[in-house]
Amino acid sequence: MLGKHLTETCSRVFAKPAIMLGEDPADYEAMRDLVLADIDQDDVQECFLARDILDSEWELLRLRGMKPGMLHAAITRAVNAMMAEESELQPLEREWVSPLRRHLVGALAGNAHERKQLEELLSKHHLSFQLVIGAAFEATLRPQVDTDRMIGAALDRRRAAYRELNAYRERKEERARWETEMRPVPAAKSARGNAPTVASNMAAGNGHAGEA
Amino acid sequence: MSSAAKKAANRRNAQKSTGPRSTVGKARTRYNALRHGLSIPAALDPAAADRVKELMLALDQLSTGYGEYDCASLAAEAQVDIERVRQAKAAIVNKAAQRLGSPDLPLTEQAALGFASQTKSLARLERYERRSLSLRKQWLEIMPRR
Repeated sequence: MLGKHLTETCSRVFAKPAIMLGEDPADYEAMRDLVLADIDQDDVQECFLARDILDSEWELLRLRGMKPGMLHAAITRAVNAMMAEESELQPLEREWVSPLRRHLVGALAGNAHERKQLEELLSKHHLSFQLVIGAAFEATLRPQVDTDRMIGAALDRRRAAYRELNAYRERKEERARWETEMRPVPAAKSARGNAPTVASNMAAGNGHAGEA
Repeated sequence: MSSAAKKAANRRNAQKSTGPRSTVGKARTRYNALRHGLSIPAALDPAAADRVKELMLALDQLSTGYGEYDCASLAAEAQVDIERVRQAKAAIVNKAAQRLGSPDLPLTEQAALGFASQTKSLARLERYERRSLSLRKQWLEIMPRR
């Protein structure tokens, strides 16, 4: 459980999230709560690492959403470009843009009815679904490759944050163990009856007596 | 090799274009070369100073009270640098989306259009984030603990 002070500290660390157009800050907060519940951080350094994990996760979701998003956004431009290439074809009429996108999103989601309607719409312009998707993919090829690289970088960052968190916790546990072992025993139990020291503690068999 | 006449013409032309002279003109062009400002450390950015102070206070609970000040402030600065990179990424996409996207497109598609046009710039920002993450790790590791 987080203490009051740590909750304040944590909220300081998690302030100012980087939100893009079309993203919902409430989704970010929901994800933050899930990550914090999973990590169960107990100091500010762990808060920093929790934030790294959260931001990498958020970026991964964002980038994975951008890949089909770029394709969807490029479709109408691709259709227009293909029509402009064919001199006998008319450019895409404005009122067709909205149904085209709607059918397309449905078709990409696996809806057979939407796909059929899309095919019909495109056939009026001597185009096909495969042709349009191919053209849109070609138009966004470079950004798609860059996005894949950014996904790789975000995955690396997330892995590094988890690794750092585990290493930090191990160091912390080791330090706590060492401090417990080195803690002076109470005066009554001391072998010499003097004020307890690290040396007397070791002589009494606690800690690293063999090395003393 | 330029001819003497060409050199003379270049010198004459250079005299004509010496940049803005008025205070208003100088103020207007002052930030022309500024792209994202991420090469400047957070400590030198007045807008980030408050955030650095806030994080330093948060880090204070970890410190021993001896020799921690520099480490805590440097770690806080690195954390603010990381945040600045992440904010810059979002701002670049939002700006491009507003420029390229038409209002009849859904917001996610506007963002996707903006993102697609800026992937190269976004990929270039990765190294700033990596550098700041590495600096923060270094400073936190050597910071004396309570």
